[in-house]
Amino acid sequence: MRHSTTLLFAALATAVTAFSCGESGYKFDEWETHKLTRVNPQLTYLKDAHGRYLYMHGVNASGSTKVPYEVDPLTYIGRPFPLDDADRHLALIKAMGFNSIRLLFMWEAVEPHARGVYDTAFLDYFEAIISKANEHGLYVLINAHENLFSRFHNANYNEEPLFGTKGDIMGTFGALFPYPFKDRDFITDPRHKDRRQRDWWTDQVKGDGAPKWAVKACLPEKDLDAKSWGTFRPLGSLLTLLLNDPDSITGLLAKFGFDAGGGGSDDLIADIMSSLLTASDEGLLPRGPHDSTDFMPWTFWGINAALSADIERCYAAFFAGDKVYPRYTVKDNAGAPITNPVTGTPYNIKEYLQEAYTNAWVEVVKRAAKYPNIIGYDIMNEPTSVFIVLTAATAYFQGASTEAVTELLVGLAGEELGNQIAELLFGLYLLPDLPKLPDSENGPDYQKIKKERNETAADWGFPLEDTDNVGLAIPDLFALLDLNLGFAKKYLQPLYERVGAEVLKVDPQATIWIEEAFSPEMLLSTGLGGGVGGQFMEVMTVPAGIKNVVFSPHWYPDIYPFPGFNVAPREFTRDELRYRDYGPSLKAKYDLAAYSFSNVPTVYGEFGTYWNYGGIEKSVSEGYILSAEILDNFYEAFEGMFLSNMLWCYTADNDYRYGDLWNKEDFSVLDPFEVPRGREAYSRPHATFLPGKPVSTHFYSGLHYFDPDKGKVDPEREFYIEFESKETDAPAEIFVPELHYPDGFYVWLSDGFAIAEYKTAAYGKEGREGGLGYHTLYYFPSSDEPGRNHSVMIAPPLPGRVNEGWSHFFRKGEAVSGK
Amino acid sequence: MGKSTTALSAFVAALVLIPAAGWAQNDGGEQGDDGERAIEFHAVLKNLYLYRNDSDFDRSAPVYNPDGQSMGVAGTDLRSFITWHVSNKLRIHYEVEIGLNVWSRNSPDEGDPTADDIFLLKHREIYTEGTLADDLVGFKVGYQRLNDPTVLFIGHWFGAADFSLNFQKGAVHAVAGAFPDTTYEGLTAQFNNFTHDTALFALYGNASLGRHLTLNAGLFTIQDESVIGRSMTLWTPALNLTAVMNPDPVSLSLSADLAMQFGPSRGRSYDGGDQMNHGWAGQIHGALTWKRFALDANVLALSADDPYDNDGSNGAFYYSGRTRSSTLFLTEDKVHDWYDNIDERLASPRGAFYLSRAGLLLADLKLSYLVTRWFRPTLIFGTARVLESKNALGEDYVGTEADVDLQFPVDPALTFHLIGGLLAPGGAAGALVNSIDTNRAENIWTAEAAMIVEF
Repeated sequence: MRHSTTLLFAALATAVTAFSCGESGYKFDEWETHKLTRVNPQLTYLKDAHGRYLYMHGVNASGSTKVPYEVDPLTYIGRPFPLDDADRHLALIKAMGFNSIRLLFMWEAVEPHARGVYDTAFLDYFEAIISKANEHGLYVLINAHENLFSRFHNANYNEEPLFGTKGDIMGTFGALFPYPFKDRDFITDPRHKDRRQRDWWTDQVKGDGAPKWAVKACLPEKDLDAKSWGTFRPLGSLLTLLLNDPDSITGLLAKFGFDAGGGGSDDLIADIMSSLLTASDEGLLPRGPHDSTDFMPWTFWGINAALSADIERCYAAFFAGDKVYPRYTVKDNAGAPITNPVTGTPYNIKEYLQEAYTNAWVEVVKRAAKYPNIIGYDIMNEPTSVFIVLTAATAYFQGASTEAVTELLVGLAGEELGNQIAELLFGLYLLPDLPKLPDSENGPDYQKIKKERNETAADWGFPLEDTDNVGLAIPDLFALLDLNLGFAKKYLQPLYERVGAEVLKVDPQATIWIEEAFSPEMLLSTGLGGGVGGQFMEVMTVPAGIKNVVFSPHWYPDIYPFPGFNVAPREFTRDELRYRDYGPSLKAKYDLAAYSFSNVPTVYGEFGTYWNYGGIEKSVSEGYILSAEILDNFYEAFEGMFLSNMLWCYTADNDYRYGDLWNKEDFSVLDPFEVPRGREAYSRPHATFLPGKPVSTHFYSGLHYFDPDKGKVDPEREFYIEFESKETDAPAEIFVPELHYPDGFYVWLSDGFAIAEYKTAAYGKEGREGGLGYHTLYYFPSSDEPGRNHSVMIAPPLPGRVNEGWSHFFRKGEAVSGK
Repeated sequence: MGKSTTALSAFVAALVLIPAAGWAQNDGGEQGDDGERAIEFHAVLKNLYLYRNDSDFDRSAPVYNPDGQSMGVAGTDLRSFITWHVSNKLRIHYEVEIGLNVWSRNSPDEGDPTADDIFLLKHREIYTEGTLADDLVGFKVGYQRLNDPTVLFIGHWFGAADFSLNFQKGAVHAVAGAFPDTTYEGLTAQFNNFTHDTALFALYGNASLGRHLTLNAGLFTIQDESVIGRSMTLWTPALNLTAVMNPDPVSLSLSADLAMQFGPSRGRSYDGGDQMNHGWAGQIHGALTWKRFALDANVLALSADDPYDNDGSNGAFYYSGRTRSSTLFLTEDKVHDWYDNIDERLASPRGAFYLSRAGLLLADLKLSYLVTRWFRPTLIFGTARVLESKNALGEDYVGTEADVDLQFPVDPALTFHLIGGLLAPGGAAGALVNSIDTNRAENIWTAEAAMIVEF
């Protein structure tokens, strides 16, 4: 017996060692599906190389990219963040729940000083950011960002007004006056690089995007380096008016509701005169249109798009320079025409600009094309195509009366808006008084008046005769009228086709992202049918010759400051915001993809909220609850439609006073101490990849309102996702933040199994450090038959809620299996 | 427990303890013409009462309070065994279980056979058994209870064909069977096929290794094709060595069980590769009887998996849920299986098996003393821990139970039990079992009464 028993155990031992135990552990780094691959549109979806459907939950990096990192010497290296900090920020972005970044670059960053001369150091930096994003598992959408064409469209103002109270109408205009600013700390604050180092202004409203040489080409008669550039243009005229007629100030103040007969008016007038005289001595006051711009420091900066002829001239030159300025040839510093080497003829302004823009894009794409995490190229941010003021001003200079101009404005912008624009143009002296031409050409004054009108028109950039002095040419009024209708189809779509074609030569796998134009049609639009009953809508369609296209609209709710200068942030109550459904507004834009863009995928490229409602102190003390409610509304709407999205924005150097350092916009999800804020809204479970067609998803954050049911525990922090039959063996990937599940979470699966990877990332500085933990859940459905939907539900342990039939429980990287 | 509930429980317990008349008199069987029994009839009838306090470990939904409700049930279960002796070499065997029919739920007055409150009826075994060739060859084909030598892997009812070669000192069996599953195939015969079944093949035998030693050993193989593209082949050699000695006045038996599992689960690793199974289970059981004392000791071990679920390696054991342990909470209550055994609830159901990735180490002692012919009190102590705490949220202690079973064998066919027990669960049990709050591990106590008639 002993012998046989020994033999038996020996045989067993041999069997034990003969069989392999298999490989233990997860080797995520070696796992093919763990690596990002190129994503391609397939009808209305984005799919990766493993055949999975992608849901983008991204963020824009960053708000402060709109301002240079340094102005002297000029560089954008460090935007969105210095390379040394990139790993830290990218890890944090991932831990906050974002799976992609819309990585901005300025045209000025690539080609800052001269056409065709590229900042290779910036391109090196930009490529390094893309590479690091890939290491951190983040997709990158590259966007050529711009607003109002360029930062060289700017206007200065003071946050503490010379007169009036901040917030009232007097204070609005009091902000426009320069005065010796005592708190020099703000001026010399090293973070605020893009403000001119003056002692007279504390802040500036500006655009971003194009380099100075491009602006100069569009506005050749302007002196962008003048000390007075950025000063509210009418101040120059105001000083002249007051010197000639000191009593006229009374009437002017009465216009703004100030009772000049009451006490204090003498001091006010003295302050105003002192400000103007001193500024004039300093050269800060505009002396005419050459050394000033019609750009104004509207707190809601976008108003300038509708009111600034300077901006509209730049866009007109860029998009339609060949039609609007058919005889305008670009000249070098010596005054000689710059010749197009391909055609041998002098560059028209449009070709000059668009070719440079396209080539700048090509330089960027050359750096990006090799990376698998490049999800696309967003050719131009929010192409603004409002030409109302430019059209009206051109008509005015070309002979239309003020009444006719007003009628034209009403025709283009509607009754109310048209009249308001006319009042601003003429009331604020944004257009000069032109002497009226006599009816008869033979009269003695006709030629004199005509000459005066021509000189004034040329001075203002609207020549009536072609002139070589500053390279201007007569604008074509009819071409301008045409620009206001069908812009997107006739001018924007060709730009996408042009840039897209060149991008594809460098990156044949490229996906081109297109945005709709901000045009008068949108102002008048009552839906997809467009204005005037829809009869004249000429919709942009998918750019020809480009196979992979994504439509990327933007939308913001009514969060912007009211019209005015130096206006305080909006105020809301929580209940006012809590029940708002943004779904219909988001869907209206989403429907464009089916209406005219051949049903390509739609990804909202921008949406977001301010973080300073009621003032930053109030907002901080309330835990940013209003902002979180707004974002939660957004995300629930997106999830209801399974709409991919990219939040505006993540700014590494956000500031309590200056926000994202551009126009006091404060949209960053990172506060000045690099602490994520309002996380409850955006740091939410979502599936980045699905192996089958998405069916539905939802997540109920702590901000969600439940209709209480008797005897039923509210499904707080419940996440659910369902998708159709699996089309690939690659797993679903679901982001699960520890924020909502500090005690762990249960997972219910329709079939198959799941594993999880747990990671953490650090945040914060200056005593506010902390860490964010998250799981990435990999779900492997097993059933393979057609028609079989798969689902995942995640819920936390909740008192009173029975959790039966769960498949897994995860907590801080530990796991137990259930059903 | 409130006063009214206490009163109700006492009343029900009293009802349960009223002996049923008549059954004990049946000696089960009908004589055939040749004097051999043509029909054998056996039965086990249990009237049961169970109460467990409100605890996070019971299964009651939190309807009236956050942890749920106390558990209480009175019911009746009848298991009948009928054997028809077709000839002296051929038998048909049928086992049927009626119950557990709960007094507050299942109605004998219900006329509609499809109603929710109709009696529960389970057909357990339906097989034919016999011998051929002068008893050299044996067979047992049909629905039957089949165990592997350890019972730790196979201890199930299912359809199988068991053929044996019988020798003087032992037998060798070859088995082919199929586990029922409800995936994919459905219930209609036209879709039925062997492609997506779970089949069992086994070769096992027993041999006497001497006067005191018996060896049961076998190789059991599962071929699980129930999940398309993810089949599993599980080879399980299992053996049991039992030694029985009776040096008067002591009676001693010792048994050792060992089972090991190998084989791939195809395509079940997270990277699409195979997952290799390599679990094991072991059990040592000793029983000592000396005069009026009886002592049972048992140690059970189930292997654990590494902390990486669904990687290329699975070290956990596919477990039947059946052990020789005497515990009432930690393993199957031998009086009646209430299907809430901690060893099963720590694990994940995998078809007909339980897979406990945290593993298990369970030790228990049972001590009884025959006070009189009709009174035997028994004490049970058991304690358990997991073998891989990382698979139990960092906890390793499962819990400890202590039970008192007062047995009253008033008749050879009639026994009463009065049982009280307490389980003090540990963090590992909370982590794996408590699906409301994993951090809570509240004590459970139970009161159980049973009247068992068996003949």
